[in-house]
Amino acid sequence: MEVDINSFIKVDFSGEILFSFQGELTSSKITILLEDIETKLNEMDIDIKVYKKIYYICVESVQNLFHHSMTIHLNGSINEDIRFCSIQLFKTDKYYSIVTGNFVKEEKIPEIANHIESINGFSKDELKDYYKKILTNQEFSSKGGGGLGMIDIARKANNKYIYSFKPFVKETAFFKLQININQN
Amino acid sequence: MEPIKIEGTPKTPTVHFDATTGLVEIKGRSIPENSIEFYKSLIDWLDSYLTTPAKLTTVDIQLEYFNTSSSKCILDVFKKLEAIYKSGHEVIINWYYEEDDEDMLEAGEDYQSIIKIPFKMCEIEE
Repeated sequence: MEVDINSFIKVDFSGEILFSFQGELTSSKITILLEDIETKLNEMDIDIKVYKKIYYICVESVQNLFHHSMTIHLNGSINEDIRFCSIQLFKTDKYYSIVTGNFVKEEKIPEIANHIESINGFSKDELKDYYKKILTNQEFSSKGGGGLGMIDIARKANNKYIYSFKPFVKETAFFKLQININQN
Repeated sequence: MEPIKIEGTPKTPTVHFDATTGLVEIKGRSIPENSIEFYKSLIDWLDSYLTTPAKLTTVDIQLEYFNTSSSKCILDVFKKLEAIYKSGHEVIINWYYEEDDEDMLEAGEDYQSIIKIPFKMCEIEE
């Protein structure tokens, strides 16, 4: 089965694409990808505080994708499942936006949506307390720690998540997650 | 005890632990995919060190970036140091952050509120 993956990744926005990746992530690929993002940011005239937030959120987002994307069979001509994901960095009039995409099992959607809704519902101080609670109370695995990455991204960005789930085949969905960082 | 000296990489920090001088230093970037693997040897070293620590342990943390996977490992490092402090030995944590890097200052303050060791927030001028 051939899949038009671009229809899933596509983001509606008016602005400039600064960086875009789609494919399978490996540890070495992450290193190259983060170097490319840093090179791009270095070329830009950008406030150092905003620069650091963008880079940090890219690091955390890419590693979230690495640890949590499910494998999927995308292309009939390649007879294997891949851990497909996408990450895009945009610049609009007001924001820098980081949009990630990955496949998830439909049964996971309520859990993910609840986590995001909790984060979106917190004030800055509540988010700080929630971060410290997860940091001190939960056991971490080699995969990460209890959704701490998403909490910290929201703290650093100081904005709410925008997200969607688009149905795919065989009880899977494409999960798109956007976070905006104010330009100043 | 043999000191630990690890050179930094784009994803892992420079580390210098020395039991003779009581120096515990972590600098650079800590953004590996699997932080538990990287920090394991540091935690093991501190487990040995806390049996016979120096009179004063000086902890210098100067991180440009650290991911949430590292945040728990850094907390584990601080918990070992807290045990040394609670056993009556002097420990001071110097948390360095670049001028205007409010996020890194706030990250230090988060640890300061969790760990009962004297923290000193040290601003580095760019």
